[in-house]
Amino acid sequence: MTGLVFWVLVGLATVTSFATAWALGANSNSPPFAPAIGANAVSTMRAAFLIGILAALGALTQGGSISETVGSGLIDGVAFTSLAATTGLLTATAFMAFGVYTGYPVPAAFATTGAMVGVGLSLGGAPAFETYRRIAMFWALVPPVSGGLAYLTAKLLRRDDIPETVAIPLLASVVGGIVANIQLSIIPSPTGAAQESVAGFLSGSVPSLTVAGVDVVTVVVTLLFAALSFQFIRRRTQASIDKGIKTFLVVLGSVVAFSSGGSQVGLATGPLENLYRAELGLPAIGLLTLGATGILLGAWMGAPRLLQATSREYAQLGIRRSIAALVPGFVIAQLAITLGIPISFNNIIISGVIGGGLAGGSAGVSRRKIAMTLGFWFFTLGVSIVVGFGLYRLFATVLGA
Amino acid sequence: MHHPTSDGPVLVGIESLDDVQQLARTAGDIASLGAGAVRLVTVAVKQSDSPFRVFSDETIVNEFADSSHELLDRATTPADVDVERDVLVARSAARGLLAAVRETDPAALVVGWRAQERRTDAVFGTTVDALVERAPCDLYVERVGQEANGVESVLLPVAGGPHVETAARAAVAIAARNDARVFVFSVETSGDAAAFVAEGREALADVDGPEVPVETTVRESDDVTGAVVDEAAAHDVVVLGATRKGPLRRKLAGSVPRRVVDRTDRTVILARNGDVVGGPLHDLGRLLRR
Repeated sequence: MTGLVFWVLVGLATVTSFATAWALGANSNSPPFAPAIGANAVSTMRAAFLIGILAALGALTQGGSISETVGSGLIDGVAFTSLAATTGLLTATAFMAFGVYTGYPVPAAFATTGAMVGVGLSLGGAPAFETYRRIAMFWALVPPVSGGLAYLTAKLLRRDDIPETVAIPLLASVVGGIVANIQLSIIPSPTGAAQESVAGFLSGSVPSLTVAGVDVVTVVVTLLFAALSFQFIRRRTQASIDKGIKTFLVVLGSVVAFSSGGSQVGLATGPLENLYRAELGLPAIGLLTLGATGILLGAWMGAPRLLQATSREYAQLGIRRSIAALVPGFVIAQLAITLGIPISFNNIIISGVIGGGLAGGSAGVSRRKIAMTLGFWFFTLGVSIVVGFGLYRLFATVLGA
Repeated sequence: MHHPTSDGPVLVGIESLDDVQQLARTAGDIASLGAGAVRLVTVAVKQSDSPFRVFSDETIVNEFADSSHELLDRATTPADVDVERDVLVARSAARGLLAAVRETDPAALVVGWRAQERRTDAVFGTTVDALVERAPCDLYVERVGQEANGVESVLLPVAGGPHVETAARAAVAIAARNDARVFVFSVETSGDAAAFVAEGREALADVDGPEVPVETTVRESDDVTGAVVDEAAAHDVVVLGATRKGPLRRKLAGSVPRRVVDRTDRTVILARNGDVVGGPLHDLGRLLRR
């Protein structure tokens, strides 16, 4: 391939990746703060500002693992060239645009994963069945686990015998404990891994102490974080239940927005992994910076409008069900980041909203709409593979590559 | 030709509280020609990325459409107009209103249009454009914000085409309720103006409703838009027929009406005949544009 074509493709791929990150920042980041806005804990503009910053930070510090899976984990034996990366991104973008234009649910994670598999196979790569198995299992488990966690959370919050001064701090302690263990690329790993958690860092920095295969320091640090979180929110709820809940909503929204950025950026940057890192020799952080900037600007420019529209819905959902939907959102997004599995953040929230509703009796969902939503998920996944495959073949033939 | 009118209600699509009074009044005028009432409709929009989209319509209307209910509850309507209120669920405002039209077979649909700062590809905004193109009933698009304070004369500019009847109905309805006169107006460009005016007069006479005083004017000019705008200054309400049916949406929503709206501060109502929607060619065009 000539040098000119290569650089044109690099430019095109970069622009598409940036635009995808922008769209993800504008569209998938409204749920974290919508409940807090609905409860008047924070203003729309301030929320949009925070979402942009937090999601971008999440993208920078946590985006690497999913980005790597999308870029090199889905296909064995070949590396994505500039043409392949561009084709994959364009295919995924076309699907997302189709979703926005028609109003049908087209999850970005499914479109990107499908497109990359299709393009990779078209390149002559071998399907990475082991990765597919892991991804499929994770995706299949998202609705029951997210719905189940939301159900339990909502049940906990609904119990009359557990006062809110206990229930809310208890949830805060769970969140705090997980925060101690989330994988961040800025934390230097004593064991040499790319990402490390606070708890892992501390446990690796002191002489190892394991009891029955469990690292004691990790457990201690986790419990410490949980206890501090419990105490902090406990004090706030005791002073005023209303203020305590609002504080928790903002804190929860913050960690969810952070996780959302970390779990979504890879969908935009993943296709460029090989191109940027192997062919252009740029560091991983360079690519993530591109994605994080897109998410930041997308959130700042697009989120206020969406937040205004959705915060009313969350206000009507009520604080308990909102919290019940966000807690699994955080847990599952972090799990996906740890395992490097591309996910659609919206799908987790949908399951959470339904699960929280079931705790109050009937969820009031429409079977037809759920079936249609599921149908479109499968449709997106299947057709994006075919389109990615065909489109790459077409481009390769036309360009004589 | 006598226009077959439906006995259904006159639907009013409401998006903002500011528009209700004005649109309900126009709808009430039109409804008074037939048997139907006025039905205010708001659409609770649940987009594809909303986690709330999986709820049943019933749940959404009952639990997650507060802003829509609030809008309808706070809508003040003219005292002499019989009004029903309804909240619908759809993926977009246009889809919701189209579904309402299919379900109720209304006498007409009235929607508001507000001039926007933002330049978009759409002629009158995406919702109105979609309705102009696809709503299978008589459609009136009223520019909201500028409402005539008392109506003494209604201007009906004509240049042939399928929308004259529909425009004439609104002109008669508004004139009758306000004891106003209707001025049929045409611009002479190719020698057809006299025929157009006669056709407009006939359309007014054909409307199944009270008699209203009618006057006619023909003016010679090369600038159709400018002539209509100048004439409009002497009247309170302008009822414009959409331009001739064309293969493209842009033609249907029309450039002359769009320019007139931009240049006059009168109340402007764009009328589009429901009969132009449908037919195999139209469906094909729709399929291609999807």
